Amino acid sequence: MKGKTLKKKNSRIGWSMVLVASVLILVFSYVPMVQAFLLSLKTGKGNNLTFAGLANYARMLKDNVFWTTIGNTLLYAVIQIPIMLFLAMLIAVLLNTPNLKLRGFYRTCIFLPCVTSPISYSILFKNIFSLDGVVNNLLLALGIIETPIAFVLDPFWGKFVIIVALIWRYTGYFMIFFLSALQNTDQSVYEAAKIDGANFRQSFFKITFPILKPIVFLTSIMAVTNTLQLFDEVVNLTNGGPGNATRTISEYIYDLSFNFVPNYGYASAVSYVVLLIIVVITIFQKKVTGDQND
Amino acid sequence: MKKKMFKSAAGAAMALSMTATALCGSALTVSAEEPTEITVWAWDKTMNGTSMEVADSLDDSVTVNFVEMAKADCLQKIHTVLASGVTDDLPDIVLISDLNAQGYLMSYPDAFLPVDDYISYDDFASYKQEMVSYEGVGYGVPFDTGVAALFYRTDYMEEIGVTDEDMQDLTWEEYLALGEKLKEKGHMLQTYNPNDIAEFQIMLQSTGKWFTDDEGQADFVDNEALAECYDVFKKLNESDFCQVVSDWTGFAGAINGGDVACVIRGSWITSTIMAGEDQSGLWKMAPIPKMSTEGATHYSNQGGSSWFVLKNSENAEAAAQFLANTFGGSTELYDSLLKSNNIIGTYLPASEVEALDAESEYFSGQQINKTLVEWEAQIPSVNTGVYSAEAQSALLAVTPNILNGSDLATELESAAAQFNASVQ
Amino acid sequence: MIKKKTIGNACKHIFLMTISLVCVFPFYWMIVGMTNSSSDIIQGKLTFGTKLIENVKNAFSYSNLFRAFGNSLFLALVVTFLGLLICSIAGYAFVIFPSRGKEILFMALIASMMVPFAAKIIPMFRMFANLGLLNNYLAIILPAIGTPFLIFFFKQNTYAFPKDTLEAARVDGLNEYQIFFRIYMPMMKSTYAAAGIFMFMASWNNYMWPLIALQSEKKFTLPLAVSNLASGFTPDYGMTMVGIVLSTLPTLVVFFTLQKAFVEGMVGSVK
Repeated sequence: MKGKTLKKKNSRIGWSMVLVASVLILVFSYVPMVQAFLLSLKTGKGNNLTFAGLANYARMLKDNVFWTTIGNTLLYAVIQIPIMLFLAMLIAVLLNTPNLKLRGFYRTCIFLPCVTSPISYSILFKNIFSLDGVVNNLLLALGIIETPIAFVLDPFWGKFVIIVALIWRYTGYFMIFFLSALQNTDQSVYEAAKIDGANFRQSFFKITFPILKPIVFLTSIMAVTNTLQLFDEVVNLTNGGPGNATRTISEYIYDLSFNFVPNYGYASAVSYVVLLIIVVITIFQKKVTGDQND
Repeated sequence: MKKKMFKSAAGAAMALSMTATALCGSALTVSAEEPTEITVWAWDKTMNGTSMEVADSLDDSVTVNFVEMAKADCLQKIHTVLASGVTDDLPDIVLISDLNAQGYLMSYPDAFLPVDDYISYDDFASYKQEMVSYEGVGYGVPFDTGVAALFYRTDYMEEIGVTDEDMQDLTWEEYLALGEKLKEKGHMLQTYNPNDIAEFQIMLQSTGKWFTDDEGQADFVDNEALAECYDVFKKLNESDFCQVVSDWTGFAGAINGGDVACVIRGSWITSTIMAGEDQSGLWKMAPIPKMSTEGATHYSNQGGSSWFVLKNSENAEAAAQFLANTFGGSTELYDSLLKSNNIIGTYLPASEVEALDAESEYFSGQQINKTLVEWEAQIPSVNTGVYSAEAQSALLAVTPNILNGSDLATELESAAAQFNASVQ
Repeated sequence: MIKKKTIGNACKHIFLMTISLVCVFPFYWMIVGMTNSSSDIIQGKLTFGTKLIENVKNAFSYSNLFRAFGNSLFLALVVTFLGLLICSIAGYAFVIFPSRGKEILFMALIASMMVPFAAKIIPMFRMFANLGLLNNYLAIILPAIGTPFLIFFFKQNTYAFPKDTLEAARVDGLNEYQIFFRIYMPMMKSTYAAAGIFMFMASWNNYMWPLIALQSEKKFTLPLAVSNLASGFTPDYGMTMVGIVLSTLPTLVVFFTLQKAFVEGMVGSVK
């Protein structure tokens, strides 16, 4: 009897703790989301909208640009995210080595890239990968290439530069999340393991990785959400070109809403497909990485 | 609500009284009342902000609150505000680029104030009216222009024995031939960006054609002017006398760094050229090369924008009257804009102002502005319609294939199909 | 044994040093850019120039960067403080008081960050206009403080919060709120530090929504002002660099201040 009232009381407290954040998110995110969904059922230019049912969703099936941009965006995600998260985890583990000299220095340096704004670091990368930029000069000097490569004007190299830029910018950012999780762990656990004769690899898989697992789940969802909404970097580096070779789905949504004569209904429908893709990937990730809450 | 009605009534009364005085004499009235505050959204403070500032100083009945945003941001913000249907806190005047104007007018019926009663379009360069009107009603007060010109380095041309006279009446073929000679002397003809077909705008309009026809349909496949554009573009692509660039920084760098001998752009490019202070006196201006398509001229336009009044804004009538008094009726405004910032408008009566006669030291003593104004009057008028952005995007998507040697007609057909899909 | 360790250590240092160099280079580039003229920057000059004072003067006379800086700082501090508070308590409760209903709620909250923002702009604008909050900082603060990602982050880190400590505190007679404020908060210092950096950066760099929601130039934030610096037909890259450097400074300061918390790690459960 007593246990039951306590449980009831705790449940009330639990709900009260999540209340404020939930209400804010529901009001300021869900109401617009629902409106956007209703909009996705309408078609027309600007404010001349008429109800069209699922016509916008049907239109996507035959829209080449839509498929190209979806393909590009997924390609970025599939290549960039694993490399970046692996690097971030590796660096975090290295920086967590006790008594490592200069670790404050390294930590600061590696964090630095993510304080740059998307626009400024895009300009920088464009500069570095330009025809007479550092990279071309280096490759020429080493005799690897004979004529400079027009990186951002080439469909393959354009994607390459974008992926390199993303890894550069976000590795330090995700490293912070891994590092903070590692710092929550008592160092004595490692020392105990060492006394038991565990080497680096063993202690990594037995101790470190299980601690990082929930953070891997978190960061991978975050990274997927980020990359599938990729916009600024591509606009500034390649502007989606050549043709549509590097264009992302978010750029396409922006074009449909603000660059072309606006078709807000279709833009919303495309946005909902992005939502759907992210949700599917997230469920998949949850299965693979496994959340801890059961 | 009552307050609001009173306000707009007062605004209308004031506008009326101002029209009356404007009719009586050209002197602008000094209103005894508090000046009305007019909010303006636009980009480029150096150019558009200065223009508004000068206009503000010429009309005592208003004070201008100029809010600056980057161009893409400004256009996006206007879309958001109009699409939401919100009528509170609207700006009174917005700047919209000409190629986007008809899209806004079509998308948001009843959002803009017709200005036919305030200004006379006969006072403006004729190609402007069509760009800022929709279904026969004029909404925009034309402002700046981008008369296209060929800017070239006199010193480089001298090296290959080309005189100023030779530059005056070039065909594209002759122009491209300069590239070979320049290359021998170690110079590039111009910049080239395979991912940017903005130059097509200049070439098409010089023949009175556009990406779309009068019905707004894609005019790709049987468009001889467009075929010629691609022909030139392909030659640039295959040549070894172009400086390949990928963005504005590279483009401007090639000019300021002395890499290229020629630039073909709207006249607004002068400020970029003039940023290279060490090249003063080395540049001159000539008409753009002529295409071989029927109806081709040496005159065209690139860029340009116009002022629009939002109908539901608090001071819409006062704002329209302010524009009529200044941008649509004051040669004094254009005179001082020329003197202070080299800004050329499209207001024809201003083609007489004395500031136009000034010789530009940078451009080897040429009367740059006077010449540009003369050319402006000869620019062929085109109906750019609503879908210029869609058309260029569809073409850009097939451009890499065309450059790789794929059949032009096939590629243009597939671009037309993409265009049709995107405008539905 | 010792030798092997030295080699391993050397490898670590070489690896970390290389990455650090790659990461620091752009800052050198930005700072050099600040001292060069626009056309020098365009031509890729990588040595220090003499235009620093001129660029700074131009940037500050072009737009009121001080005011924009102040506006951004105010918003970022308010958003960070409130966001940390409400998101951490929510993330905590999702773990400490789990229930089926909360699990569903949590999933729903996470899903809300997966819709591209471009789709939400117009409905959000209409909503804040109806609330009469356009051009008001509440329009920036309210949607920013409830951040699904932050709740998620606190939730994941709360799994590391020792159950023994929780039970001990209950036995000591602390109520649930006291446990959160007096035990959990101080113990999870490094989580708060990481989350604080995330929150500050998100608010500091927030661009699209303030652009749409704020109408008067007096209220503009730093990213908007910096973007204006580069918006002319002939952008002046020298003064733009000044703006870019200015806009990266506060995040650096926040990082330097909070990174101490990482080093200290979790405050021992012995307390």
